[in-house]
Amino acid sequence: MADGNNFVIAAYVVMWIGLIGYGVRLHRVTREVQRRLDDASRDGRNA
Amino acid sequence: MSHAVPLERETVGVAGRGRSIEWLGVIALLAVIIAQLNGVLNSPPDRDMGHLQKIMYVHVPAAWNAFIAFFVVASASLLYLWKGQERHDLLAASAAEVGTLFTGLTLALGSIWGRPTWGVWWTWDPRLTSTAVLFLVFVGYLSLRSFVEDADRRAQWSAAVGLLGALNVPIVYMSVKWWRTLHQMQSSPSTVDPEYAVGLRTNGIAILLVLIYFIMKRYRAARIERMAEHVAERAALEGRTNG
Repeated sequence: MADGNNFVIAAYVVMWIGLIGYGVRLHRVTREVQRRLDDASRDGRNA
Repeated sequence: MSHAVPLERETVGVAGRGRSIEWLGVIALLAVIIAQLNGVLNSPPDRDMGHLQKIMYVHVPAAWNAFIAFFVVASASLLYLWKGQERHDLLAASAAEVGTLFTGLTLALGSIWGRPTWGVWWTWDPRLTSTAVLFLVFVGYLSLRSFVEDADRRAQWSAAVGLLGALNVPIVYMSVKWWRTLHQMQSSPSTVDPEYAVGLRTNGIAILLVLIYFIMKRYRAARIERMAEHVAERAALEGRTNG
């Protein structure tokens, strides 16, 4: 892997940053909306 | 929008699917690792491009799966305009977000491949330009969704923009045939050397699994978010009635 080695590595790094970054974002969004649903359900029961 | 299923049952249904979606995520992750290792370690260097050919295993699957995501956007948008069901709007929005991610990756990876191959990071080639337009249209789609408050209006406008945006996909695909300039013809298992076809197929399928996982997870989050809004609205209404 002499010629273009750095570009190949850069491409795979960019791909994984994109996939992991979006995966983490999805995880956070899901956790946040789940918390909002739990809060709303609790408020509904107390109403 | 009306719900045919009682809210409590639907809440349990959507929330309960979380574990099977996470299992799909694990399978997709393993599939990508195996497919990429196989592609990088086992495919021989190309006669002209050398090891740069290995970028094909990430660039091309990202592009294919962006197209699939936008096909889902177009189908769900049409269904929304036809039936007016909220779930179709949420599915279109989820697929649009994931499709935009993969289009962005396609552009970035293509740029990394273009620098050593063409000598430039970017050129106004028809394939590159039409892909950039597709990307920008869907960035606009996502922006539209974030600033329109009214849910029905947001869904209708999004469906129209999603359909028009997806019309760009065939233009992107055909651009290398219609205007034969710098970008080479489409890479597919039928156009590349058989030694690269297996790697291309397996990486395409592995990224497809990731695409399905991302869309399902995003869609589930969108459904839960909407349910939280409905539950909060109902609680406020009941509180007002009892008070």
